Amino acid sequence: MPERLGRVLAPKVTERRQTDEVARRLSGLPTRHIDWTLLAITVFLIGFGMLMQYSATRHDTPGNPTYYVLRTSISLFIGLIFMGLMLSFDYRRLKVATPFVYGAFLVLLVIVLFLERVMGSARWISLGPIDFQPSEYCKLVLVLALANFFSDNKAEPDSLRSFIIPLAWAAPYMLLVFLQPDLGTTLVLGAILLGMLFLVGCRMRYWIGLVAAGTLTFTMGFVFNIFKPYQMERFTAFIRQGSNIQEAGYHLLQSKIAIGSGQLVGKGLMQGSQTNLNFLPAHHTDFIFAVIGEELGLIGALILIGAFCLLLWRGVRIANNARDFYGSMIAFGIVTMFVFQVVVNIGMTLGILPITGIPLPLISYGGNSLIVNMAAIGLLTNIHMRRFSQI
Amino acid sequence: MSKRRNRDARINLAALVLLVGLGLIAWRLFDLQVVKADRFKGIAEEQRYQLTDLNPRRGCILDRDGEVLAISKEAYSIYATPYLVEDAQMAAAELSMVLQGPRQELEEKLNSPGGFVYLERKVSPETAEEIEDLGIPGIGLEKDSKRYYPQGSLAAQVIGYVGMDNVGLSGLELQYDPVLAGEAGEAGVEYDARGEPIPGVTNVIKPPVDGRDIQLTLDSEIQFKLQEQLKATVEESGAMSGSGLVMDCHTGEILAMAVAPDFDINLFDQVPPEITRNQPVTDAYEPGSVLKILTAMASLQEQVVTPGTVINVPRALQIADYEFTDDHPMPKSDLTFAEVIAHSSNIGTIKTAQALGKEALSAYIAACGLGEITGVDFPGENPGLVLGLDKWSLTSLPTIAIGQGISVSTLQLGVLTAAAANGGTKVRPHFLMREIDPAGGMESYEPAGGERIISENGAASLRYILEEVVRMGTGTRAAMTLYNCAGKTGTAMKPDPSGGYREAYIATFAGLAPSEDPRLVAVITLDEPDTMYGGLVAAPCFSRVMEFSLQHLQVVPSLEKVNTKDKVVVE
Repeated sequence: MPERLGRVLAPKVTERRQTDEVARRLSGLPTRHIDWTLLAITVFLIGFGMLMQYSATRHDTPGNPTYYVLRTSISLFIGLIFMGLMLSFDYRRLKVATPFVYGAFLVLLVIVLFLERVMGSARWISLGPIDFQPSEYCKLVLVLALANFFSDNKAEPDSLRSFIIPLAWAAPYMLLVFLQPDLGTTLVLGAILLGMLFLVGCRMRYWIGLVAAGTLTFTMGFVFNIFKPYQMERFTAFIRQGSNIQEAGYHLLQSKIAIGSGQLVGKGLMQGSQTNLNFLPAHHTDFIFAVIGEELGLIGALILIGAFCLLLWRGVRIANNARDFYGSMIAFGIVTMFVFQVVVNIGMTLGILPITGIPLPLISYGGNSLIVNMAAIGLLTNIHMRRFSQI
Repeated sequence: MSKRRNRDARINLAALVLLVGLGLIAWRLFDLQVVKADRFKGIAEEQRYQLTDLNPRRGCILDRDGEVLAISKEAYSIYATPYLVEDAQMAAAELSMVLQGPRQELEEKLNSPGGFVYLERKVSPETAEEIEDLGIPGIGLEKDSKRYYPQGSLAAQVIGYVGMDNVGLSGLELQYDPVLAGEAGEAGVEYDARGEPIPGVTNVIKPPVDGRDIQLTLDSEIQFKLQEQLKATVEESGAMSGSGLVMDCHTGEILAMAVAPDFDINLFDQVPPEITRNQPVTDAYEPGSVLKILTAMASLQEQVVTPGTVINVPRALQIADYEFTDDHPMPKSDLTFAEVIAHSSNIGTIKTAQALGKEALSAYIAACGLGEITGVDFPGENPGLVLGLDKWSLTSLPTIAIGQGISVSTLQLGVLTAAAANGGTKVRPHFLMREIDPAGGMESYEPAGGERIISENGAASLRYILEEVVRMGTGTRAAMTLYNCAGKTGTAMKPDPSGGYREAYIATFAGLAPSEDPRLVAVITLDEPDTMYGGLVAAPCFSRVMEFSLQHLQVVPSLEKVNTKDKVVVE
């Protein structure tokens, strides 16, 4: 019997009531146990994001103020399909499919390297009007693959084997994504690995060793110049803030000006001068938090962060209440993925973390990111509503 | 269940790390949006909001009858933001069709580094519209104004010109720049990150104040005649240049002032700068015999002589180590003082000056304003050069008495002649008649009245002598058909830069008319004519300009002709 369920059926309840409770919870459809709070937060965040996207981009395509928002709507529609798909079946069936999905995306990541580069990166596979970006989906696939391993792992969690095999799952993805090059997504994949290793109880010596190795690789990359000039520039712009000679420094400065000038209550929706006059770069993608900071001020920024905290709380709750260790690990993996992206993206716009090109989940413009994040929410919902199911 | 506890501990640790991270973010947000908010707000405003000058309209320059001499017209400057131009080659081809400029040059400008380059300054509104219709990205128009001189070369050296930025650079455009320029206004304009102004958010902080028009004392008709005659005389005489002026002898109003050769002010940047000098004001030279007017004036006023005083004129006069002679033989050895001046006898003049004494002569030089600026409203006036009395040598008195060893400007000669004409007062010459503000209000310009140099009687005697110059002396060619006139010729040797004098002359005629009731004075100067005598070259020019001017001003012809060109006496 799964550990979680045993705790739910606490010994203080009378035998009779216990039976009633079990019977009640197990009867009927799993949809009775949907986490509506989670879905409400998700709806709020996506709506918030689209509003800010509209505010930021309505002058970017002359004569067509809703260009970006309409594209987001299409992604939203596809995202809804994926979300529905992700909760339509018992998540445990994913166990069988995961290795195949993992393999398929490995192939896609290889293929993408040989395709035409867009703005210096090989990230996208063009499917007519839609640009498919495999690396975004890899984040979720890696969560599933690692959850798969940890739940089936018979060895002690602090053994070397329990450390090396997850590493072997993550490494090919990270390497291929890094080669695109996409430093941001590489870091997200690394964060998922580190987060799940940490939670599962990996030996701290190994874990710290891995962090150290990552830092060393990064430093070596610096020394031996394997990073692209713009990546180096972003990093130096972060280290030496205030110099806006380089492009990245300029972006960071403009972001801080936008947020700072928003003050307590902001300049009002659609009133952001930094945003609308194009001083703020990537205002609908990576720097959308600066738009929120400028137009809605400290209040708006805190409301957004609050909403993310709620999402985090629901995610952790789902992980804790999951009916099995597998579900719990998936939920933790997804939470790690969200938390890392939110913190790094916001930190970047505020100048407390380097610019890495990580979008703000559910808020930033970007179809692939939205679809995969909605699929992740669908998966969380799946785990939550089937927490009592026997099948 | 140690595994479970272990996991809970790790979750707690992770939560703690996350909490610290969120706290850091919240603290940073507070720092940026509350603590440093005003600073960032300032930066944000500063980088999008810029103050721009609103250019006022520059005032017109009009002549005394309201004829427009200079006007500012609407014009546009075409600029490019090179990095916004997508196809420089194509854009250059299209632009060169409209601008009629070389394609190569345009293409180079369109490919230049930097964010701003002028393609063409000050094109007409029509051309600007054509450029706008091309709709080439990265090409912009900037409202400007262009100074236009409808009369071309009329009074070119007097009016002067303005630079690209519409600021007066020379002449009256410079002198009256503060009046003409007006005051620039100020507007706040919002710019986007590319530096493009956002339409419709121009916030006028201070509207511009248009410049005032100035109406000059110049008379276009007389000015035209003077220029035409100077040009003809320069051509005829083979002189390097000629200059002259016509002035109201009572008020000091300058009716005409010109230099030949002249130039079209609209094309000022294509002529050598030296021909843009307004020589009558800015250049001083040794005037020669024409300055005998001054010697005569002083001697008559001090009653050293009367017009009828008989003076013995020898062939030569030895003073110190220098022997003075007359340039041409005198008709007899005993001449009246009037005849001395009429025939321009150096010796007779020197003898009179000796009787006058150097202190008195020096005092009259000072009283007539030689060696000092006249105070004319024109930039860069030359005060001339007069030796201080303490520096005079034994030959200074005789040389200065006949107009050598002293330098004066044509304008100073005009003022001197005007004193003889108006009954003994030193006038303040000027160009400005009135200022007209944009609303139509007028403010007349009246310079301070001049001081008296000699008495009415002295001036009358001087006029009689100067009349004799034209009747029977060196200036007979100055005589006119309808009016009596008076004046004095001058032929000065030009000093050699290496010392002494060289075989080059400046011929001058300074005169007034009508001599019985003077109205105008005129001075004509020719630099290095082929014929050396002022009477031969400058006087006929004076005659034609003066006669035209008097007729133009509808001055009643003289009833009794004392000197006449055609020996015709009007009954």
